Amino acid sequence: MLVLLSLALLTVSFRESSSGPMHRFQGYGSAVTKPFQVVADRIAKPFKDGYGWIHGMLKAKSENRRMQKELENLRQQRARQKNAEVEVAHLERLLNYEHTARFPQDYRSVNTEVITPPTGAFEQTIVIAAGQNRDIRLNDTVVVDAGLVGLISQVGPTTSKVTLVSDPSFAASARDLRTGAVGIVRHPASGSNVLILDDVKIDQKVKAGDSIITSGWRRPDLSSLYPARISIGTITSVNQSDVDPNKLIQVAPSVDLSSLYAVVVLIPKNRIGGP
Amino acid sequence: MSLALKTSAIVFIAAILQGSWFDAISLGYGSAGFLLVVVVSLALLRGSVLGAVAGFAAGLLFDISTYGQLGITSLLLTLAGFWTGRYGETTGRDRVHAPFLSVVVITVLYELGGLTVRFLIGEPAPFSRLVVGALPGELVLNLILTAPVYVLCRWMVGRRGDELGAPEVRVIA
Repeated sequence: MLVLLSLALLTVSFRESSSGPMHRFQGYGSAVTKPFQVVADRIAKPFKDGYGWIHGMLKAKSENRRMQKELENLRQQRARQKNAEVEVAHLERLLNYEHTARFPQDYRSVNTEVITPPTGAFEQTIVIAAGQNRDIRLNDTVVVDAGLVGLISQVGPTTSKVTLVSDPSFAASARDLRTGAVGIVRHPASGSNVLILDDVKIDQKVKAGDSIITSGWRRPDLSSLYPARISIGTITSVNQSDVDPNKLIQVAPSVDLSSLYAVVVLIPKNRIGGP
Repeated sequence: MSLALKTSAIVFIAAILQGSWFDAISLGYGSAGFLLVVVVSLALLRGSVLGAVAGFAAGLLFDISTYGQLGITSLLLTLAGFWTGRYGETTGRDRVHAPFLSVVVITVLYELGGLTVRFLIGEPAPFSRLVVGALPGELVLNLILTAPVYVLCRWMVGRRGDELGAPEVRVIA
């Protein structure tokens, strides 16, 4: 009896749309359990913090040396970037350059807590403590300061589900920041931690260490789900074969998805109409 | 407190803790299956019917709270609860190793079952990720959880037959 009921639940929820009654029921159910999850999370927080503190102390010395070097590099980069930004802004004014929505200035952010981390070996999703009550909608982009986290795949009254970039269903149009080479970043079904940058032709001069960002392309009938210029990761290896017209590129995500405590949902400022 | 109320409380707390705490405890790709261990323990202690009902409720609650595909966890935990309950009612009765053996076998079957269901409904089901990445870590973590969870469940709901107060009867041929 219970097995049949489970199969019925599975069939109905699988076949109906994301706005169907079962999904709505799930949204309300999640809203009911949210306070308990928040309480459990608060109770666990000191222990998680304690673990993080001990773990951090053990790595502090080598981490400090690495950070000093990184800080020096970043200072130099920042100085170059400031000059470039001023120059770009000036040139754009001269050319009356038209933009699509730009990140972050054309988005407002909803900062929210992660109440459920990724569950199990297959589901690369998290649940966050904000939903329709904060104007979050399907396919809104989710980020942290380090870069892209994923997108909203289900919205409830006070909670939402986020599909992470480490989910096998993830794909985003992307661009190499240094060379401008474009491709599709996706997660390999094999289950490793790295991402794959696909569809980059072998004549492109990409190399390990290049930063990969979202390209945010737009056509009249279709557009990328992600705003442009959000960091996805860094290229870790570039290979090619004689038979494949595309390079085989691996990308390490810029966000540590295993320790997300809070995320930012990007809501377009020009959003209009109902959900 | 009645058995049903105690079991409901255990299942509810376990489902919440699985989503909030135990999914974050991982070894390789495998995370601790606290909810699975609780269902196995309840089924061993109280039999197949309670095991199946607890498994269904636990799975449903977990899928709801984590926005999982409704029905998958319920289906798998119902079967896990029922089969473990049957084992506890028959050959596993009074065996010290029963909880550990059940957790190992059910963890493997649960993950393979999950993989099969996902494959059938066309969701990503990477076999290598499960066998190489997730399963070894999950088995270790679940085995670590088994003894404390089993003892706690036994303390809370007791064992089937305990309430009769009957001493053990041994048939001497």
